[in-house]
Amino acid sequence: MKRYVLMRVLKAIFTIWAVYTLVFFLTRVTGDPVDWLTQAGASDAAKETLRRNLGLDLPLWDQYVKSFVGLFTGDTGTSYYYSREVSALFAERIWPTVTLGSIVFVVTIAVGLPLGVLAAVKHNSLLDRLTMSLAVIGSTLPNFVLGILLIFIFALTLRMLPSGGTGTVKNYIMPIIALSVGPVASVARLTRSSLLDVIGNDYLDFVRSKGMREWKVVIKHGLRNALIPVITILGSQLSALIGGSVVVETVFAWPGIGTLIVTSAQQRDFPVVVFGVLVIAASVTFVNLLVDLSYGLLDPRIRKS
Amino acid sequence: MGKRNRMKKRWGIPPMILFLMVTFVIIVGAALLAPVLAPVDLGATELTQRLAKPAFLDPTSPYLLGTDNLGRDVAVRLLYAIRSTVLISFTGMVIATALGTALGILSGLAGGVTDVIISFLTDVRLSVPTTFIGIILACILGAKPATTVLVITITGWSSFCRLVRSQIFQLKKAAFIEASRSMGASGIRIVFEHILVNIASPLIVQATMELSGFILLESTLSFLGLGIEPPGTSLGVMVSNGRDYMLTHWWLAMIPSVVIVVLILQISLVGDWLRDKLDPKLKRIS
Repeated sequence: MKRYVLMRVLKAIFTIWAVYTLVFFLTRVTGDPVDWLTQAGASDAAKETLRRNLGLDLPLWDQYVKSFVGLFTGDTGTSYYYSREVSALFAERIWPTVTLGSIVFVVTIAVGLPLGVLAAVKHNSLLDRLTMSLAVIGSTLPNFVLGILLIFIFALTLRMLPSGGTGTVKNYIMPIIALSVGPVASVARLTRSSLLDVIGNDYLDFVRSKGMREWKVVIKHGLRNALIPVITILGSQLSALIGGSVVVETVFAWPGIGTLIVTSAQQRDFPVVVFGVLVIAASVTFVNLLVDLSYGLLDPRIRKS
Repeated sequence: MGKRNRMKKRWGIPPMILFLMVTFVIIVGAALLAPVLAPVDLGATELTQRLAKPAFLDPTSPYLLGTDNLGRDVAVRLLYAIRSTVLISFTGMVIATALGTALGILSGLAGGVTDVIISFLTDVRLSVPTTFIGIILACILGAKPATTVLVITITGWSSFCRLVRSQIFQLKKAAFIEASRSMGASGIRIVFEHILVNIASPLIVQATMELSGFILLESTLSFLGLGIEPPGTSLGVMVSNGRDYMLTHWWLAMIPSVVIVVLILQISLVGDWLRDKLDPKLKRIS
């Protein structure tokens, strides 16, 4: 088991490093950022000064080593566009994204899981069909379409909620809905099908025959086994959530890291883009690692092998 | 037994699925024929006609779906938008399927180091959310259809690779492959004569299911302004343009949104049906 954990951790670190290196060199092959930052017709001397100030006069390899070492010494580089420390920019913008993401994650589990259980227990009932039809529509609805639809209904027509920005509780409602509908739908569908697979098993008949109540059978013995596939997708759900947050942040003018990275990419602000992708790849890889390690806790068969 | 029942028995196509397929073919067919049906210059504007109401709101309007902020006929632009969204997603799907299948075969047959490297590449790809891969590539290569096709390829190959790889591990144990090998058939011959034939139907199912995701991806990227540059258009671009006129002209954003949802629903429902039909082994309780 120790060896397994160690191998997984090493693999995760290696993955994050590979993403960082790949994105660093990919962004550098696109041409000279100085050409983008200066106005047409700027003198060569001015360009040269700017190049030296940004550290772009060094050979590519030295730039890479310098920025890589900097990650460990706390020097994340300076944004070309904002002329500020990249880590300071992120410190400012990360909380709106993390707050929104955490709430959506909780909503996904708190709503998706019970809906799936309910649909499985009441298999083939009206409730089941209704939930699943909604889930099909929910998982196919693009979040920017949903976001615009919400703005149209609640902000423009009913005038109940602000159409964008941050600050009050009301600002959270539409972004949360726009981001959670997809994940809630897929968790509900997966919980239902996975629970239905388990419910037919003989060992559940055994505990039933002991006189255990049906809901207890489902929750205690069924759900525990049915959860494994659901947990497996949490990593990819997080990845989809972060990807979706870019779109939703754009629609609702939410000042998070999603919008920061998109605008930085458009402005070719490479230090910000590279660092942003690093932060995101690290969080997704970390959650995937947790998911892998938690199998052991849920399934004793994996723990022992 | 009525005629309809006999049809149903032979093809096994439920009326709902048939309806989805027929409407999909009509929508996509009209869109692909857009340059023939409505040969216009996409860049041309008619400012005197700007923001005309659609005929379903104002019966006197000569424009079926109204006009946009530059006076261009929304119905015509919608056809061209569906055309580019579908063409880009479909091209991406074909390339992603081919690449994923090739790497999956390589991974499954060669095993060892090759397999480890390919599975590591999958991990790397999965650690960066799809939208961000799109953002990075669009910033490097510019917002154009070829970039989106590349994004679809890069993000899409891994699921095909995983599918083909696991199918090959199962097939490797099959007696008929062993028999063929013992008769002296080469690896390439086994791939073309036995393996590709056997993985074709799960691949078709997977490709159909993924296509709806690729349409979503293309719309999202072009919505963010990372997919296609004016005067070209796609469904995401139309939604994004219509957003600015939501308060007064809600249909400008709603019409392309509805089309996106309809296309994705059609493809994924047909995909679900196809999965149960072609591959009973994969059938889930649903």
